[in-house]
Amino acid sequence: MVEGEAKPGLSSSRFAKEGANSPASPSTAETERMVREHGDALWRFVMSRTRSVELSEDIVQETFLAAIQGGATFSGLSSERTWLLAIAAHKVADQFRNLRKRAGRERAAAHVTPKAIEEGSEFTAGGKWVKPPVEWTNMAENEGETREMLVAMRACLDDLPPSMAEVIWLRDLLNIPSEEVCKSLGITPTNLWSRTHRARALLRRCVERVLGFEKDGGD
Amino acid sequence: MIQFVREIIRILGMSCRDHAAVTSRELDEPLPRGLRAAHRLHVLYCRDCARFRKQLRTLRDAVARIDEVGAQAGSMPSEIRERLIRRLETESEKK
Repeated sequence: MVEGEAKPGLSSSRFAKEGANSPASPSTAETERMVREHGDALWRFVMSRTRSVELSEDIVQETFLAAIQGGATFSGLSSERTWLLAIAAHKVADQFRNLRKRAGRERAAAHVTPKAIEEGSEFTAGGKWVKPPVEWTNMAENEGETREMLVAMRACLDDLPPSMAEVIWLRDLLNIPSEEVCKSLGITPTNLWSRTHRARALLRRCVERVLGFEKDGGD
Repeated sequence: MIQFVREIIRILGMSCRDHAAVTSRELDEPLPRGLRAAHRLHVLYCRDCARFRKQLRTLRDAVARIDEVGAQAGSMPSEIRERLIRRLETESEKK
């Protein structure tokens, strides 16, 4: 199941400090500064997820527009760049949600391993492991194997339901504080906690399958 | 104190499914004292949950390095940057 249907695009005002008394929109010079300072970081973030120049251009533009039209203020809990990246993350997730909707149950990205993401419970009704985690061989110690894991993780992240991938980008990649993520996604801390846990568990299981550690050989 | 002990007993009755959720929660925030103690104890004797905990930490640390693999996007092409600035300025003026 895909949690969370497409929501309206992230309003930058959700990241804004309520009642902030800044100007309604930044000056031309300010706009140019934002693009020059953060354009490359946003571009890399979006390009590495969409792998499309056209799509990335649209998303980066929408991100800056949302930031500018939202009053260009942010909570101050994170840096300006993190705030922009968080808006971009939501735009990318929205894009993937739309792609999935259009593709029905087909996978949005053709390169991902089918069935790598498996959403069934890992536990029995009594809460015991059905398929306990398998030992991964020295992943953190061997650079080659770490790289292999990164590649597997990247493919798995791309294949996670967008609402799941989004919380991993926001929390673990961009380190956005939980309160800010809750505000931006319009969910409670409990919902965020449970969604993040599900996302990490799915990601772990997927990586285990892709790396071939799963005992029964998987699919 | 009695309440603390009661809490420990309740937590000790938690299943592996519950501890898996606690493992993720621990990555995000400090756990309450009783829960932290019971969770540490659980992963001492439960090999599966200990492994899960280790792997979740490995993955969380690896996510920060995710952009080392895959598309090497580089910088925003200058023509896209200039186009973007022009469009944003137009939009700002519309407001």
